[in-house]
Amino acid sequence: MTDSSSTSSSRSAPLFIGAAVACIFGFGYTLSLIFYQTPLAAGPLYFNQKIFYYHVPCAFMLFLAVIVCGIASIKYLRGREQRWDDVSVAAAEVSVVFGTIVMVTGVLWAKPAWGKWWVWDARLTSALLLWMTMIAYQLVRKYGGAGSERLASGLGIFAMINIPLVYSSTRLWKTNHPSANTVPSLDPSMRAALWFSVLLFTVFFILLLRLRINARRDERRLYECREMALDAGLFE
Amino acid sequence: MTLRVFPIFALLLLALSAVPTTASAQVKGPAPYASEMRDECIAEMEKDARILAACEESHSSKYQVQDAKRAVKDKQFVVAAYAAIWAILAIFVIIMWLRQRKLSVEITRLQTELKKAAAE
Repeated sequence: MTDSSSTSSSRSAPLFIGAAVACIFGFGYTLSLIFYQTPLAAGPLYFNQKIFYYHVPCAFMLFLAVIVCGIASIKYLRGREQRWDDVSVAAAEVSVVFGTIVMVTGVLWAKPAWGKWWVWDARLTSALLLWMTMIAYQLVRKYGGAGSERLASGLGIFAMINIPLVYSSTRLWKTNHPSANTVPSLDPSMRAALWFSVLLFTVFFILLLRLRINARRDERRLYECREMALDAGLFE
Repeated sequence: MTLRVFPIFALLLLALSAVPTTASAQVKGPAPYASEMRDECIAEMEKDARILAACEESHSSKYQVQDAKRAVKDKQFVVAAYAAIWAILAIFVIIMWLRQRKLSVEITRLQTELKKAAAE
């Protein structure tokens, strides 16, 4: 049995602290880039375009989390290795967080841009479905009982398959949402701020994912300890 | 160590939410300037009251202030969006921290009890 001082979170403490400090300074720098070093967008958005610099990277992180969850789900279904199930659960949870951010910032951007909080166009609807699929994953894991990990893995794979549809929806259908082609046409300082933000959110995503995987491993260790305690007759 | 850093990290994330508000407050029209050339121009224009009136009308700071106001119109959406991002991330980090702390405490307690039981 390992000592409590060597729990997963303790072992990764230096890595976590380093990445967290880098993220805090990095987020401060992105805000400086976004609000002080990039020009205002042309009308009618002007200052409201600033939402773009975090909305788009969070959407990328949603995609990345779902892809990680999908790949881990495939690996788990093929080999039934617990470590892949841990990765899948962690990525699914992080995807819900980034999905929530994308939905909230999207709604707050839609109102000044289109005069409506929500429109049922292909991009918004498909992104909503992706987010709801990942919420369904969480519900299946929590309330699905025995065997729910396989069902949830299926959902993870389904969500991953949905990503190309969400990404290309602005090209396939006529949408209010701007297409990905608008990025190359931006001012160089705006593009630099966007890509720096994407890089930073990627580091932050890896950090969150790693922490959640560690917590998941500790959950399993706790389960094992409880089993051992039961065998030793510590619980009645 | 990790567990102690979580609340500080969450608080810093929330503090970053204030940046859009201060940034939007700085988007203002340019301040009036003074130069010899400007004075000369004004002196020339004053010879014809109609030109002066037209110029003052189209280039007055009133219009620049109007433009600046239009540029930051609905700024509350930007502030709300950034606050929401930091709040969501902070809530997630805090939940993870609390969950991790609970797990660590429970694992330690069980391991101590198991060691005690093994010794007996």
